[in-house]
Amino acid sequence: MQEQVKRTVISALVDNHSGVLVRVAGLFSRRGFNIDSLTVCETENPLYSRMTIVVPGDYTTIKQVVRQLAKLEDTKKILILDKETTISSELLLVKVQTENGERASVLKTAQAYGAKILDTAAKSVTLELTGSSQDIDVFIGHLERNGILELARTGMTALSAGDGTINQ
Amino acid sequence: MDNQKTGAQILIECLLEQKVDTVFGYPGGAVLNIYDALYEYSDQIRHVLTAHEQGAAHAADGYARATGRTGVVIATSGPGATNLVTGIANAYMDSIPMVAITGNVAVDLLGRDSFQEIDITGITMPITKHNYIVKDIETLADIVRDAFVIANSGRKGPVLIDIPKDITAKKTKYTKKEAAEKRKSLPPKEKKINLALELIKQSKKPMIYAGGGVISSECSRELVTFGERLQIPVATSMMALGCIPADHPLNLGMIGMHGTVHANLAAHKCDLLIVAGARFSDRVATSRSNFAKHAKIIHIDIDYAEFDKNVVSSVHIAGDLKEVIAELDKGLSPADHSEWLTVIEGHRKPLKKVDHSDFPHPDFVIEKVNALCKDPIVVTDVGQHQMWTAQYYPFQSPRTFLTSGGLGTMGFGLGAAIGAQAGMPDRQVVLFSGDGSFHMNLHETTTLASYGFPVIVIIMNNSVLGMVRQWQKVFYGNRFSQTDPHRKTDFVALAKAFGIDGLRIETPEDVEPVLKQAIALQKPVIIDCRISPDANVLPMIPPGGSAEEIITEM
Repeated sequence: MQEQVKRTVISALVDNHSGVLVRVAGLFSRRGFNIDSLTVCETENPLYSRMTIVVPGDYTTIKQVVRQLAKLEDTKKILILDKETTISSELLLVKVQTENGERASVLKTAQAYGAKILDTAAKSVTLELTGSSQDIDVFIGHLERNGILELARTGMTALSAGDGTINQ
Repeated sequence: MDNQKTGAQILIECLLEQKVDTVFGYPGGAVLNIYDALYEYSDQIRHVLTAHEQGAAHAADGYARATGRTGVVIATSGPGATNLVTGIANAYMDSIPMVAITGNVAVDLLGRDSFQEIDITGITMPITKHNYIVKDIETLADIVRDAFVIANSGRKGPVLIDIPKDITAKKTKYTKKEAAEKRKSLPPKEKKINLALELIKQSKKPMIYAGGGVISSECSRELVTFGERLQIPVATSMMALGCIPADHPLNLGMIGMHGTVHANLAAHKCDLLIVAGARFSDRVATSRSNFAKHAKIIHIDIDYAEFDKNVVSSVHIAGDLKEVIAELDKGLSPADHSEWLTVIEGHRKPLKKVDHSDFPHPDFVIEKVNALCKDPIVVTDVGQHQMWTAQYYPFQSPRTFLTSGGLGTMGFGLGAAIGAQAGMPDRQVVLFSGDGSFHMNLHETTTLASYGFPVIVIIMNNSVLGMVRQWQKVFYGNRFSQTDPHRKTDFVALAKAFGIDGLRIETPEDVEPVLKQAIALQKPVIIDCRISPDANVLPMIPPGGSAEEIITEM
């Protein structure tokens, strides 16, 4: 096992117009910050998008990331989501090969993890799983034995638990 | 309806709202409507036409540095826009307020690789505080207004507005508005102020490292008074030169790679470093881990992202420097650090004369300019001449030394001098350049000639690319690769070809009479001043080295 890199979930409320994603991505690349995953979509207020960015790195790096992000004109609000009080989820679509009589075992795994079966074809099935990134890692690990043909995952999206919101 | 105006007219109206009276630029296809409006408003806005858009961008930058106001530059789409890039980057690196306006092809031609189309907002994202492309005329006026607010608020910097040609032609209703105030920065946090006060009170060997923030916050006087009350010596980055008079007893001079020995040693030995509007550039903190390593650090800056970016501080205070100094001042009684000041004095060595060849010495030329010119604005290009000017010119007040700090842009000087002269018509502007730097944008001599800007250009002509050559001498065993270009340019003849006067200094005896002649002209003039190709910039801390590794002899 590789040494675990600390990961931080940053939630940013940004203006919802074209170019914002480029500004954020450009900032990360030119300052040498890495991104594990980034999700973005319009919020309850169509003026804003919410970005959930998972960033690997130590505290010093995260501080710089947040301060640099906060400087962008398009950034309205930025939060570091605390692991303990964060609700997070990710969506996975995965196509698994089912030749050699493996269909039954794949479907059994899907059922065990509560994955949905989205498509059944001659030589494969496509499954959908929503859950924590760790759950999805484990699920993928399990399916690798059957043979994954391709997969797509959205990256983590997250909100803080409780009544509080980023708008406050 | 009579309050219907074209986008181009609205743009100019919005510039007038901001009290803009001078813009720099170059016309072209995509900005024809804007230039037509400039023609219409020519009694209210002066447009300075340069030879090349880069010169216009540097002029807007020099204008802003000299006047403290936002510089404005206009260029057409495509090559016009890309030619601005170096100038915008230069302003960005030195936090200079600038609004750059570019034309673009009409909205329905965008994204089709149309003639002279370029994605300038994409290109300039990393070198602007913010940028816009205007796709709806209804948003134009507020975008222009916001651009000025952003350029001027917090840590200042350039903002670009890209306007497609059809937007400048369309009409809409325009309602005049007063220029908005810049955004107020948050007041400094009391807790941080108290932590800083404790450190200052405990310190036996404090020192201030002042940066360009002192100039942009307009608080030079406050900083010096603060230093005087507490008897804290002040070293300045190159960007802060002029914030404390050169001959002030507390002034340690410039800190960093080519700074004074005693400023650098003081930073090494102090127990408290108060960093005022500076950012620990690698040309100051040549070694991040060794810089001021025996000191606690109080970092004051308006840009929160500067804290702990390069060097970690003990306390950081975010806010406008002027307000922070006032707050700190309130909590402190006068102090005496004479013992510490004596220690620093012990390290003070007069700067060495540059060299002893038969050529005029650069330091001698610089000292003569100071003696003969009345309160000039001194502009430089980049290289050895720039460092000599920073080291030897005894600056007395802020905004009298305009130089490319962060980006180190050779070719900056002539454009910047034009901008400074346009903004400060009553001041003598002197440009120190090098033959290398001057060659990069010498076409702007034509702008000096057209407008009669009485800039004195002094080319420190050593016939080589001196700074790079010096590094080749020190770090590459005299392997002079491409630094001796064997150019045959006759700068006196060149001046004449452009329609201005040209003079030459060949011996030390020429310096004074030629300078006097140049000053008396009150017209643009180029002085070709021959200096030795072997003159070095010293002292010098090698990159990555610490203050103790400073080289004083070569």
